[in-house]
Formats: sequence, C-alpha cells, structure tokens
Amino acid sequence: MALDRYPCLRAFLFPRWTPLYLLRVAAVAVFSLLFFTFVLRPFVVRGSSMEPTYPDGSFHFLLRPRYLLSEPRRGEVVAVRLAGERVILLKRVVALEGEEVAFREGVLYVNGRPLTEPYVKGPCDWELPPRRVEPGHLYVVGDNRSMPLEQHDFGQVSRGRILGAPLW
Amino acid sequence: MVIGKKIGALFLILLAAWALWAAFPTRKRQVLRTLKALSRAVEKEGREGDLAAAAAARKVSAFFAPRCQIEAEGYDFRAEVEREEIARYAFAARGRASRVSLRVYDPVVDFGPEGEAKVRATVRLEGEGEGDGGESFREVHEVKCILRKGEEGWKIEEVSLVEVLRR
Repeated sequence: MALDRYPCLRAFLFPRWTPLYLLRVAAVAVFSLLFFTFVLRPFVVRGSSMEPTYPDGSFHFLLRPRYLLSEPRRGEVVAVRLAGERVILLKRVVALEGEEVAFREGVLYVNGRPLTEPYVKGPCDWELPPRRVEPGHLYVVGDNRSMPLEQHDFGQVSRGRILGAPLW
Repeated sequence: MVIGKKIGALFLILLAAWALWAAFPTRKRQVLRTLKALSRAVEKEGREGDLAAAAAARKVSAFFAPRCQIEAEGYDFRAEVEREEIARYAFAARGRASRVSLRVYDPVVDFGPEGEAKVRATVRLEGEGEGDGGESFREVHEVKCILRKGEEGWKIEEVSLVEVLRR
C-alpha cells in the first residue's frame, strides 16, 4: 500500500485512538467552540438593508472583540444586538454622540454638512428633520437607501448594544 | 448477563428521569413551551381554506389573555385589545400571506412578585404575500411580554415592542 511508505501521512490520516489523541480532539473541539462563539462568530445576512455591501444570503464572520479597546468610528459597519445575540442587525455608523443628523433630498447631513458616502449606490429620496445623537449612542443606517424610509430600520442605538464588527 | 442487567437498569432510570422531567416542567419551561407553541400556531405553509384559517386564528388568539395590552415604543402606539380582535387580525393576516413563520430567539424569563412571567426575546416574523407575485416580508423586533398563569395555562397579557433603533 502506498501509504505504508509515508508513515507520517498514515498517522495523520488514520490516527490511532490513543488517550492522548482523544484529548487533543477534545481540546481542539473546546477551543473551536470558544473561538467561534466569543471571537469570530459566523453569520448569514438576511435582508437587503445593507445591500450592495452585504447582499442577502452572504456569509461573514463577526469579530466580537473589535471594540474592546476602541470606539466605533463613522463609516464603520457594526453589529447591533437585540434581546440576545442570535439575531443581530448590521448597520453603518454615520454619526457619533452629540452630532446632528438629517436627510435632505436623499443626502445625509451630519452637523449641517453633507456626508460623502461611496458605499451608497442606489438613488435615495429620504427626508428626515435634524436630530441630535444622545450621549452614549451612535447613529446607524443601512447602505441600501433605495428602499422606502419607512421600511428601513435605522436610528440611534445605545453603545452597549454594539456587539462587534464584521471581519470583512 | 450482569452487565446487560446493569445497562437495562441504567436505561430505566434514565427513562424515568426523562418522564419526570417531561411530566413536571418548571415554570420557566412552561413559559418557553407556550412561546414555542405560539410559534407553531402562527406557522402557515401553502394554501389554507377559510375554515382552517379561522381555526388557526382562534388557536393563535387562545395564547392571549381575554384583554391584552399591546404597546410599540417609538410608534406611540398603546392599545388594549380583546382576544376576539386578535383572532380577527390573525385571520385577516393569514388570508394575505401564503407563508408565515414566527421564530422566538434568546428568550429570557423572569418571574415577578405576583407570579407573572416577564419575557424578553427577539422575534422574527417572516413570510410571503398571497399570489404568484406575493412580496416577501421580514420583521425582526425585540419584544417584552408579560404572561400570567390562569386555569387555562400561561396567557400573554402584555406585549411591547422595544425600540432598539430610535430615529
């Protein structure tokens, strides 16, 4: 048999079920579980509010410790948690606490100045009177501004609900 | 033979433990079961006659107290609805959708001093409109509910939508 000539390959592909090997398997399983729960959590996008940046059905990883040592900045995409962590909202930060946000003829204004948003591709006709972001909050909006304003979930969210950021 | 008997005894002990666990659920499990049963009652797949839709709508309304408080933060909506109204609304909604599903995620149950159960969870309601060009819909909300146990089991007395993103 060809594998007999490569004992290392054979041992890798057909390992012997020794206690040490089982311990290694258990350690890898526990590490993977912890890593993919608390560090990189896989998720699938459902819905079109972040299109075209994050299309419906696309697969990504959520980097949970992303904001452990830093604060979300304008333009970054963040994950907002709801009651638990199994369902998250993916949104883009457009304004920080204390800033004033408004939409005029589809253009986003922050502190009275239009914001350049290269990630917004479709046409937009949103109108929203100015409002100030409260302390401890961030203002988040999806990239898909072609959908009617009433159907789009956006607004200010408590900083404590930011769970992390997508890896890409 | 002795080993076989030991395995049999162990199996019987496990079976008895499982039967006890299933037959005498804790209050928390009773509430979670109620929410799961509500999800199943809301579920709709394919065409449904008026009679079946009415029966399903009545089944959905049976999860609510005779008078239920419904509140939506951010929409300035607060109303007290009767069970019959919920049944009528569920019937109308089922007629407009060819597929409906309700999922409850991450429910956290706390019990108040008067025995009421306070649940905080994320719910996802999704489906498709009736007809070939039926538009699909998907609503995700964080909700707070208050359930109280009566003679007919746990009933939902209050539902409020939590405003996570405030415009």
